[in-house]
Amino acid sequence: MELSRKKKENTAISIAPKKSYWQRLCRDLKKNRTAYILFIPVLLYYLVFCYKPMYGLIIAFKDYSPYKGIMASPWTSDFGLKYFLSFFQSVYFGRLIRNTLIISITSIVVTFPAPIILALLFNEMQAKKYKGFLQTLTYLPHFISTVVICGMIRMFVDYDGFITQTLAKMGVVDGTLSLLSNKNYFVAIYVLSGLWQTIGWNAIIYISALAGVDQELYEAARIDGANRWKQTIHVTIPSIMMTIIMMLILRLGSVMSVGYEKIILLYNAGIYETSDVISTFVYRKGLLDADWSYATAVGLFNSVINLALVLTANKITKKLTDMGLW
Amino acid sequence: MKRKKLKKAIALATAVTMTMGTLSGCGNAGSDPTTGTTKADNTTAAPNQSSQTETTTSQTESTGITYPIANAGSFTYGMSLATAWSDRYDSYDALPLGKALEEQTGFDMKMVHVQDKTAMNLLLASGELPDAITYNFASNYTGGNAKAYSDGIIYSMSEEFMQENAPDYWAYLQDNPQIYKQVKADDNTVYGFGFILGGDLLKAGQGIFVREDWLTDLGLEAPETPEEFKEMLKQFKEKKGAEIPFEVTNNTLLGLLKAGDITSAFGLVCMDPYQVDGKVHIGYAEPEFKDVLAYLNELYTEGLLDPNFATVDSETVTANMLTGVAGATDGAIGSVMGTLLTTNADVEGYSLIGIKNLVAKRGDTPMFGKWSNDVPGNMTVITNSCKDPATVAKFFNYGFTEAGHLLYNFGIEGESFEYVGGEPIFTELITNNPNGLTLKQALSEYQLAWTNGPFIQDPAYLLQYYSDQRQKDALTLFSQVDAAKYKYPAVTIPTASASKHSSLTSELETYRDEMIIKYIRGEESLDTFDSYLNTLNSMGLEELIQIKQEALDAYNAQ
Amino acid sequence: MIKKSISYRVFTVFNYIILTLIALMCLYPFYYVILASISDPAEFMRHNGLLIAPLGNLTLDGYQMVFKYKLVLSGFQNTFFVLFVGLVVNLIMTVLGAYVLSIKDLMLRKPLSIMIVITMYFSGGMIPTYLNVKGLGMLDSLWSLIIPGAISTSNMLIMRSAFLSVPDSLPEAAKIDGATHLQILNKVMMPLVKPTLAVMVLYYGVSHWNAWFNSSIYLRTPSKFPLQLVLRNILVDNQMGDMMVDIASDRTPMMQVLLKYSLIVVSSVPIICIYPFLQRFFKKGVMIGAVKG
Repeated sequence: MELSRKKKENTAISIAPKKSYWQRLCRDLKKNRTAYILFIPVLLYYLVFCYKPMYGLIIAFKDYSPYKGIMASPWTSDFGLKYFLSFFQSVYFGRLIRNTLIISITSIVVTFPAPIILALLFNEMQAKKYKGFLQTLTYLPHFISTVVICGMIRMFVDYDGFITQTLAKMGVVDGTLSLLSNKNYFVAIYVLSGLWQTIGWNAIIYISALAGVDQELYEAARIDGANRWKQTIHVTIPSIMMTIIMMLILRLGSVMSVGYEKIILLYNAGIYETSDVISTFVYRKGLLDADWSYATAVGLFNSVINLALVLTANKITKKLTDMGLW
Repeated sequence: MKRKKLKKAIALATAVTMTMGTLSGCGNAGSDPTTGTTKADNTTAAPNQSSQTETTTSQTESTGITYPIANAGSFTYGMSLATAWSDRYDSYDALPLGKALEEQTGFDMKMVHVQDKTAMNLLLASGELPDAITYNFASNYTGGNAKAYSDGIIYSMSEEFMQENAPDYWAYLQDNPQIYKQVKADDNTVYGFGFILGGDLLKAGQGIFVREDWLTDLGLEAPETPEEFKEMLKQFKEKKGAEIPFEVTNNTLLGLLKAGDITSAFGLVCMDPYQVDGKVHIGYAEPEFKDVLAYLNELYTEGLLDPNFATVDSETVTANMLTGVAGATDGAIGSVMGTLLTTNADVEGYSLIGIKNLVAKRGDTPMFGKWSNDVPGNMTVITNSCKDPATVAKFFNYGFTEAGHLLYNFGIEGESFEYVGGEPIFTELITNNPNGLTLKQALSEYQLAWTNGPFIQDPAYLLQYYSDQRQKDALTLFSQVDAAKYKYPAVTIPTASASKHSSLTSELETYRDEMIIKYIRGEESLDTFDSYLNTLNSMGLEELIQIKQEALDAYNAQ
Repeated sequence: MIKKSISYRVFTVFNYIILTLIALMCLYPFYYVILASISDPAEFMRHNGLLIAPLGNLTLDGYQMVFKYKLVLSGFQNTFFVLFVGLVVNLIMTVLGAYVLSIKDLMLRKPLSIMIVITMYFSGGMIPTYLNVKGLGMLDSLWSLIIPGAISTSNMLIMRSAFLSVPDSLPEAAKIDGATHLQILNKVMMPLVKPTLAVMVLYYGVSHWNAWFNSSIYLRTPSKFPLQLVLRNILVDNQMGDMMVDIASDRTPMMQVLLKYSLIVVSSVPIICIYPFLQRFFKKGVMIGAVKG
């Protein structure tokens, strides 16, 4: 529906002179006056708190010194690209990008669908009180700080931890060393523990979306002879598709942003090969606080890639489903 | 021995101020009984004759400032909050210490408190600076003091200014040229009022601890060489049932190598950058480093070093040291040894002693150990926003007078300390607070020596702080090293190469840390050590050494 | 027909078992923290493997230590202020933004959407934001924790997708009846997006509750600190800038352990309690009544 409207718009623009666009805009502003008035506080917020400070990004291209201020700080060498080049030319650049992508993409593949499935399973549960109780339990890990969660993970996968010992009994590992000593296990430990931490919390949005599904659709499906499985495929999932896509697009926008906190708490120099990511490397440089310019440059690099991914994802989903960010 | 040291320490720290002009208006002036013992004590055996920065006495004349200063007025003062008191007081000037300072100097401090270094950097960025700031520019401001000065934050004090407004501080710097060098800019102006370690005892403080009671039971002497150390660990394992005789985390292990706690025995100063006669070396790229790794690999293979050292956390190390699973570890005298001793105080027989950093031959002096610079970094500066630097300087000069020295180190006489046998000794209010405050909390209300500030930290404070004789013994042992000879000083890396310096450092150390674990665990044979060195070279080792060498040359040329 | 229901019954049994197991796994960290906060800390430190029941003599020393800190009480007050006032601001702003951006015939809808999405990826960073807050005179004020974070763009997008999923026919009908946008939002849309609104309360509420960083850079007076910053200071125990002297810990390792886990319980229980209240908005069939009505 939206698509067709847009086509109309496009043709209108190409045929009519520019003036007519402004005329239409004026008419629109008048017609939807109340809507635009409602938007004013939001617009102000974005202008004052998001756009006004955005000039700060240029410190990525400057040798920033706090007292001189952003504007007066000198541009860096290499046409302002010093910090970018220093990052790109690092011997570890390739490894950092690779690890970041592997950890991030594995996380998405594993932890993105899981909360949806969890919400669907809850949806099939009839006992209301028990269901509510279980739901409350699943989101508890969200409230335990990463430090404590990681402490527990380390304990479980330590040489005498119960996960290591269970695996050792099955003959998968030898059980004398912590699993975190082995570079091959890091991604699995990181991702699976992430699943444990986030599955319940992330399911909340789907659970709420499921609450909004029109029950009459089920009745219609039932009359058509669809069983529970078919109802799920043909009614439930399409009904929450909008939410799923929105969450997926948002998630793709953070592919490059693997946070340092959890990794720092789990890794060690022996497994840098698979666990060192962009953020941990920058963190170890000790530059997060002291060297704003370098940190901003790396952040900007991540943002550009993240945005590119989101725009691509948005375009694809728009083509396929007519839903998207705009 | 102990008694002598204590006396000497006080004497050292008060020596300079003793000989200076009039001091009046402060309760403790003239009551210091160590006067006159200074010279004699300086000739007694000091633990570190090699130190180039011994405080010396002097007869420098100074104009002298009379405290309290009439109509001194107020000034704004930026400082981080300390959690040791922030739950009970909203600001520094509300503390007994702050009130006493205001009363004794005649100034009114208007505090601007920030949480931490991020908040302080933001305060600097906001352009509205307080008149004075206490901050560690050296490590938290890219480019350090020099950059803060050239950026225009710091009002840098000229010689005339210092003589006029900070005579006591100036006299101290004149008597201690090594320290002067650490607080001044190229143009010979002084950045600010440094936090100065008033003796070598304050610079050491980390080393290896072992179970003293086990040594006694086994009839062993405290080990000094790698062979003896290994033999001790073996006996701990076999006869004392210690599953993990030598327990360290990966960070502790790196810290131990950086401080050179075992490297001397293999002819290597330490793993960190160091200097020999003005030439820069980087320990982890020296050929001797291979022998150090080979030794650790031996300990690992024979089950003497924790097989999980790469992943074990400090909580586990503490637990293992407390319960006899482990018998030796490395760490700081206060936070590690002190904690273990107090926690197990009621466990019969449990005892720890510090052992000398390992050497090749019994009786040798270790080349290195943990060693702080005289001015570890913290600095109180007057900013360029200050309207009247001359007056504000007088406030901070107070920390270098005798009365100020006492106040900053021991607090208020009759409240936080009393003279016992002529020496300031903390009262029960500090050591056994009636309101249930911990030692640190109580100290934080009355003095600044527990953290840092514009004064000379008195070793006598530390010796009282280390309540246990075994801690004091360990401190003596750890400070008897040649570290001052090899220490790479706190130089300023020029802005032009600062970025290169930091990226080379982090890349090389990333590689080093990975390889250390692989070599110790034997995942990589030490036969490949040459290719490790080659890789370091290809990653830019030479360039890093060159940057450090140039900075050191510039420093030495001052 | 009967066959189907058997397979569905088998599924149901498995479903109950699986969900119960997942819930137990998710309960574990919290259960562990509670056990750790009341167990004998010395035994706790020695313990390896799964913790099922409290160890040694039960103790409440950790909680005593937490509540001995004067700032804990003011921390609760400050946090509740930020939480409630912040939530009101968040919800109003988010709903307004999301609703307007969901109106399909708005010509500026696309440019405005692009404008807000960009802010998710590019921000000026800490310094200009700080200067901004300072310029608005909000330093050392609790408002600095509320106003600059009035909208989370991703939350607003989620809210918008809820508005978008309301069938077009409903607002259209209201419009024909002559309703203004404010009336449509108020009367027609809001009742339909209650489940998402509940999610917003949860998302914003929890983020206010857990936030500490902004308060650490904007606030200067300890008595204004929110709970999380107070607790963090107790735990991390930072020094003035940086510690120069090696200080033996004030607390034994055991006390430190007790304190750590008690703090976590104290700081998370109140916020966990709000979920069951929000849960009723997630019941099925919220839409039906509204659509029919």
